[in-house]
Amino acid sequence: MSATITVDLEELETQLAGDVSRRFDVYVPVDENGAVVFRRLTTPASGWLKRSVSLTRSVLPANKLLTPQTDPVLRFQGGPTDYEVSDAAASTDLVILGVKPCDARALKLLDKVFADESDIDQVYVERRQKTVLIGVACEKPEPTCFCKAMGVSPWSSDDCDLMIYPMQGLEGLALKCSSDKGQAFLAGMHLTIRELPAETSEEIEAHYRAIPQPLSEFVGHPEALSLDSFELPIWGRISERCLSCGLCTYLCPTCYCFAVVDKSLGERGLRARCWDSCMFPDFLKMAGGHNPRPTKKERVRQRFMHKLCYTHERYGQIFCVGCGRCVEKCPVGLHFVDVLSQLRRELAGGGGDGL
Amino acid sequence: MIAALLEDKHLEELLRARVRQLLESGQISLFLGYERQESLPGILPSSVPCIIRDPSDVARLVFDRVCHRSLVKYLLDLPTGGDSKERRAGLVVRGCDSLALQRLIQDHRVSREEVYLLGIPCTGMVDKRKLSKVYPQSPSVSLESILDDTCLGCDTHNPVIYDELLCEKVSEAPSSVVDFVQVRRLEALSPDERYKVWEAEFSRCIRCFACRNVCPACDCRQCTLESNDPGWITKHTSISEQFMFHFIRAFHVAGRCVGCGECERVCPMGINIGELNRKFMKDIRELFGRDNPKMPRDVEPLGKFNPDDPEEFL
Repeated sequence: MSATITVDLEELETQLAGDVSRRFDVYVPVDENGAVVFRRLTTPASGWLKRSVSLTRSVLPANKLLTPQTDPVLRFQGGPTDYEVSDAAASTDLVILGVKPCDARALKLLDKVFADESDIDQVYVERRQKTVLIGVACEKPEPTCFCKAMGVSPWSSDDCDLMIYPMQGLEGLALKCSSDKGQAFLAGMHLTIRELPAETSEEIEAHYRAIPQPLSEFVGHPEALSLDSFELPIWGRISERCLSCGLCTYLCPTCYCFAVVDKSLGERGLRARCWDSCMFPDFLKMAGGHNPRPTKKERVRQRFMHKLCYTHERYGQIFCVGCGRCVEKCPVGLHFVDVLSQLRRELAGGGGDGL
Repeated sequence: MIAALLEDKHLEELLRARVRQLLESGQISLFLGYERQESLPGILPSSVPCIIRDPSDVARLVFDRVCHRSLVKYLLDLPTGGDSKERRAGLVVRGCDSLALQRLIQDHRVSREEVYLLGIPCTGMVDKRKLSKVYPQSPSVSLESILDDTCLGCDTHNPVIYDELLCEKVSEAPSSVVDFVQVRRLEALSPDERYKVWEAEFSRCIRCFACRNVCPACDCRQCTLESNDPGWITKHTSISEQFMFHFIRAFHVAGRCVGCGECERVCPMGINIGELNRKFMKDIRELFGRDNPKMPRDVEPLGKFNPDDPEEFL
């Protein structure tokens, strides 16, 4: 969209920690006991920016900051019959620095769910408008990364407002603006900006293009599953080793399910949207006790049909960005790539097509 | 070669042959074991739980040093009652697995007659994080340097219950866990300092419940965490609810934890859950004089009141 520029790293660091932090809530990735997590920038030690942009992907996706695990909706107060209710939904001006391209793409997918013209989630849309996404190109992907296979470019600025290219050998920090919002945000920092010649910009792209991602080649480019796949006999076997924990869904940048939960503290209380997981046995359990997904077979099938079929039917997209978190963290190795392989073998054996 | 460190082909052959016999003779109707996951480029080898029902599938079975997950909880997924024969299951048990199974048997979740146990004396599993630093580049690595910390502190290498052993017993090394180094370090802190430690740990928790679901001591039919009425805890993740969840979990496995270390291994957020379990082990050891607080017994120290029990807080 626009040319690649460089800025002075220390100047940017000072601005972000100073003036920008007064105007925005600035979140950056930090390493906490080996787990990379996003934390609000409050009293950063000098050199934090360089550390933040060199970190590997966070355990929780950056985009979960827009759909927090406990997201207040309303407060209530009063006696058993006479309640006062007040709005508790909130959105702040937010800067998220260090967003990986996979997580940025996930937000584009979530836009289809929460910000579709026919189906608008006001709070989400407001947050989205008030958030500046500063991406960082992937210098050192994890072995479990396969974003390229899912159509995400690990260096593309498309889904962010600003993109940082933390590669070595450049004078200053390379940046690219990719939206009007990013342009305005950058201008507001009054940094000394140096435009890079087109050749350098191409060199940067070539550098990132050359970084291998072996798992992507293995995964190829998956096709969507057909609705008929619901009846595949293999789901029972695939699901056998599932632990029914919610790890995969909570770590997944494109999972967004929530339950509305009231917490009452005597005469006051809070209603919040709280993350929920289709892997939990009681996710769909109804009043009266009926459970439409009583066993692991139905639940695991739901997770993968949702990602590979239902979202494709509805939004034209497979809801996986290849971040690799489930591949790395599933305690029993029941992850996207494994299930994809099992389904491919099953479909190939049964003479079916797809995937 | 790291691959050679991880595998034991001879043991694997014995295992497959025996499982085939057991299935063919009808002695068991299924076998809970491990299979090697499809090899992915650049990714560590991994063995994952599998269920074998057909004798012709036994070639899938492996037993190596990346077979981490305990299999016993899968028994609870198998149907019971009626004419179901699914519960006549065979499975491999290492020392820790056998303690875990004893836990389920003692809690009346599994009966000893339902299961046929192929015991495997075990000298440790490999830690994925340690392995990832050396795999596959380093030509020579010592096994000790990549073993899981829990296994390094193990004092139950040999299964305590089994129907047959697939190989010779190994000598039991004295445990290093019983030194409770980290527990002592935490105990030495002031209450405020300790609160800060746990506040930082628990604030990372995402309540995915992987720790609970993998735990052999978490075997309740209805978990209190899923109870709506009374709703002891909700899905809200305020810090007080986080403490509540971890207290409930820790207290419910107090005196029942078999020290398999799975809760720590599966936690995606790297929370130091095992330290709470070890604190309870240390207390039980000191208060009730139990030589091995991990070993399930007929009467658990916290499961029965004894007039001689220490009760200085009452």
